[in-house]
Amino acid sequence: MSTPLAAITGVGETAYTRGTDLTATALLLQAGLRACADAGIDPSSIDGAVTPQGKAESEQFVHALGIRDLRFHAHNAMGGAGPVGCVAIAAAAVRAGVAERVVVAAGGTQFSGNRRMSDAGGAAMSIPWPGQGIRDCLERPYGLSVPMQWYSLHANYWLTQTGADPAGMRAVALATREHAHSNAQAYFRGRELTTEAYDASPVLVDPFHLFDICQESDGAAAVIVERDGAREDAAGVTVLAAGEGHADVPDDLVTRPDIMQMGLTKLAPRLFAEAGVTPQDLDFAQLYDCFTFVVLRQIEELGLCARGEAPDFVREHGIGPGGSFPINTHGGLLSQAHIAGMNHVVEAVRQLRGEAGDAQLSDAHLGVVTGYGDMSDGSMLILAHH
Amino acid sequence: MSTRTGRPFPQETPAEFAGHVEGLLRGEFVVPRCRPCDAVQWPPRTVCGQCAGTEFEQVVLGELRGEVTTWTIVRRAFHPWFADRVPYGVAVVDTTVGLRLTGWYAGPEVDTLRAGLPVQGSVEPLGDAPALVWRPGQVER
Repeated sequence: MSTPLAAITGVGETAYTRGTDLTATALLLQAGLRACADAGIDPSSIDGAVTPQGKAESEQFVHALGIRDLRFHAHNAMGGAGPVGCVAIAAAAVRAGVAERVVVAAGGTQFSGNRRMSDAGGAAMSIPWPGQGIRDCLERPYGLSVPMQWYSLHANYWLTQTGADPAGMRAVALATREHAHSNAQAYFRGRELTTEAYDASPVLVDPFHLFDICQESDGAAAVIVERDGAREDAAGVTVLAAGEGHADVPDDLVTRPDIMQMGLTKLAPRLFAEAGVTPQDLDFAQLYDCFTFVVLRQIEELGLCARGEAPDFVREHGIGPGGSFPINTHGGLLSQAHIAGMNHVVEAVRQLRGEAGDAQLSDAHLGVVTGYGDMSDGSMLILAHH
Repeated sequence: MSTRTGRPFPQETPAEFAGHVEGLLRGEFVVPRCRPCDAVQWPPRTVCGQCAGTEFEQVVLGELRGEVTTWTIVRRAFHPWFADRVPYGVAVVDTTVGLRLTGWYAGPEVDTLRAGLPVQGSVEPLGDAPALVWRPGQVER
């Protein structure tokens, strides 16, 4: 394995809810404070802050954490790939020595905010996205205004071109729900999802049933990133590699030459090479799951199997509790909460520390976390037990 | 974006999309072509991806034919105008001129939409604004 990039020494979460009186900034700050407590550090010693664009100003961290000398901050704008991408920025910053102790926080008020994407009145038509001209002139006039509609163009292409088994999407939905029953923060904990219920659920857009589509949530999660080995007593998890990737036409899903290309297509082989590990070495994966099909496509682009074969991979290996390749052991966006994928980072750290409670895997030494967002931007962490 | 209750149609057009949107209003499908190098930019861009040129001429695509590369059928809409039209289809078409164009599918039944379907396109009214509309048709080879 390579020289570690950094360490994640603390994790923190707010309550994950559907309904809150708190602002996104307040939630992020609360999660950040809890991550400091978990790391066993004085919040005032934080010297870096990284958040997805628009969620919290770094000045607010100075105020809320009492930071004495903030010497680094950054934001990124990759939608669902943002939080994991922020961890990658923090890891690079501590590796470069521009900061020593960085808080990374993400989440928000997606459910209680003023523009819910599932709003029937058309609120999604005014949400800003990258490639605004493409959205406004080439998609929204044709009734494509939300991610499920955009991504369905990729999903239908994938199903048609590769002959992938659409039942793989149901398998992801059911396995993710099974994991959620072990997680105290999971919105769908204790609510069984059966094959019959999945099949009976409405198709909102071909080929996605209701249960292929993630929920909208309120809440935030945070991690503390430090130089690997900075503190002997830290219950750290090592970041072996971290980064982001972008498709050839990153702001348009349909005009890129290879419609199935994603940011992860370029990113995954790059990071596995940097970390000196292979996809087959992984004990688990926490994969961004805004849609079940995105999990399947990421399994393929990670290099775990060929394009079109992820449904077979899921069936043969088992990704639910007791499976040989567990995915989203906290219940993911689909069944735990939509904390923009920062909840996936928290769960990966807990698994590697052996602190995942009822969801704890018996063999968790090496794991991967991915983010996926906007028009298929990718981000990824390869994490190892300290 | 429009806040009106009709079909969404760009009201304030980014400069690089102005020629295209104005073309639709005339009933034409217009794409920007780089003056220095002749490369068509689709979707429209402010800088040519081939030569970094910044001057474009607006070219009318006379022939709109091709085969469906991918598609979607929307069964629950998230906007009132479209909610009245579900299920509706959107087709992404690889055209004979080498551009991949997204448009409304006006086939006899929306479920006839599939990959490889030959289609013909035209710019015509859809609701109270113009649109690129695809219908099943033969591709001349």
